[in-house]
Amino acid sequence: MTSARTHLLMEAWLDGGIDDAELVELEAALLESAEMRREFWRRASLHGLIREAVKIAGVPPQVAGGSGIRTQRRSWLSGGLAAGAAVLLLGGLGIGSVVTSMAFAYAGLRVWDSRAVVIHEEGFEQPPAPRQDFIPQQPDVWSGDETEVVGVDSNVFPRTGGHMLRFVSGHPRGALYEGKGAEIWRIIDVEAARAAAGSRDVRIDFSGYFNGVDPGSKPLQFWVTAVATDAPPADLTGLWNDRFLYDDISPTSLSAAQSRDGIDADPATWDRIATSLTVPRRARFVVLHCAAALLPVPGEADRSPRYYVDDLSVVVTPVAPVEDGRTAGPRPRNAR
Amino acid sequence: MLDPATQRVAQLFVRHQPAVRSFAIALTGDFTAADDVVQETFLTITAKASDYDTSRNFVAWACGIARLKVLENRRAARRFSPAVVDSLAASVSIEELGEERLPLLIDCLEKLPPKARELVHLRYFSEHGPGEIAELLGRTVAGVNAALLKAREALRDCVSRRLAAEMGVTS
Repeated sequence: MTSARTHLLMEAWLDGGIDDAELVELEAALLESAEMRREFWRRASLHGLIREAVKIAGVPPQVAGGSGIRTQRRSWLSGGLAAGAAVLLLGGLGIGSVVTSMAFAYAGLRVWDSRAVVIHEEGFEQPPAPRQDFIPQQPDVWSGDETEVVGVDSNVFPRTGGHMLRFVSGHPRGALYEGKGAEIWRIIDVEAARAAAGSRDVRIDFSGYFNGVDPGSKPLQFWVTAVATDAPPADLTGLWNDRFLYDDISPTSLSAAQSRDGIDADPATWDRIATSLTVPRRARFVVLHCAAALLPVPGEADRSPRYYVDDLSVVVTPVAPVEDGRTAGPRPRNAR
Repeated sequence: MLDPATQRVAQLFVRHQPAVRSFAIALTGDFTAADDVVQETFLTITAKASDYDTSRNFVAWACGIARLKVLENRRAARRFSPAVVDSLAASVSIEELGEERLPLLIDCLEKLPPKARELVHLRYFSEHGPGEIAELLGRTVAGVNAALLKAREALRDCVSRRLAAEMGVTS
């Protein structure tokens, strides 16, 4: 086998595109040649470092095709990276978490082609941290009742980068009621999403990675919900409990979708939960809700649940025209 | 509160996690499997913190544990045989993992042409495989693979030039 062929197989391995026969071929070359092993590490170490660099650098500036919508990006630690990251993360060790004022999150908008647009990716690596005011009153910020951005915490390592979001407790602040959720929300401005996607008719896909440590080793309950509405953001707090979730989907809740899952209590694994919502034409906003059900240990007033979320993403995709008004979709279950 | 030994290795792990993660990505060929390996490695090294000999290279110690976690990991669809994992792990140069190159690489990312940078972002941030990227961009998989290879070579050249320039300045 030629060196060029082996190099191609190395690239295929690193990109997850190798088949069984090629893997056998690559393995033989690696076992046979010290030079090929050195070449493998030359390529593989760059591959790993690029991923780390991209995660740290965040969303690149990009102009959506004709939409005039630009990405936002805040640079972080472009120099002295390792030392800076270590200092930030070390704050989370031993004391359980980094205080929210040290928290970093990022927000941005990214576009490729006219087919799908990533309108938000969140790894909690750069500011701002989620606000502490229940459902937000304006689009494009994360908000929750009690959450905090942390580094390494309770033996859980962030899925990527150096930070993740920890659900602290259910509402009201400081209290814990059985089965009540700790949660965060984000309001998506559908008009901006439509402009970015270049289509009046869109689908919004929302996903996040969840992890947790439960003292009782029970499966941990997490869910993500998306609700389309024509109600203004200022009205959403009242509508959320009163109408979106308890009653049938009301005229102000045009469509809704929810995915709910129990994940294992192994801190070493992160599990993805996702939901998709086709947005009716009349909808002006989509409310995204991301929550954990708190399962208190009997006899233990644990107000510091160790449930986490990382790497949230929101993607908007053009779809075939949908009728105005309600669309089919699973009815959301009560989140609180 | 963590005991001092655990706190020390945890701090070292945080500082050197880019190198450990690169090691895991190389041996698993899968970002998600590598992330699991890093998580498992972190749990093990903090549990065995008292075993750490501070005269040893920390990254080498952590990668030794990560190697075992790679062998245990079953998440990736295709895996290297244990013989290949061992052979590669034995031949890695800790310096080659090159975490000191990370700040240079971040700067170099900004120098990529917009389309190449977008491609790199799709592959490494959104973690799409070449097949998914091809579908998203309406390109062929072979075209995406070629463009990814070109982007990586451009990044490697950029980092090499900057390293050489830095060495020239300091020498």
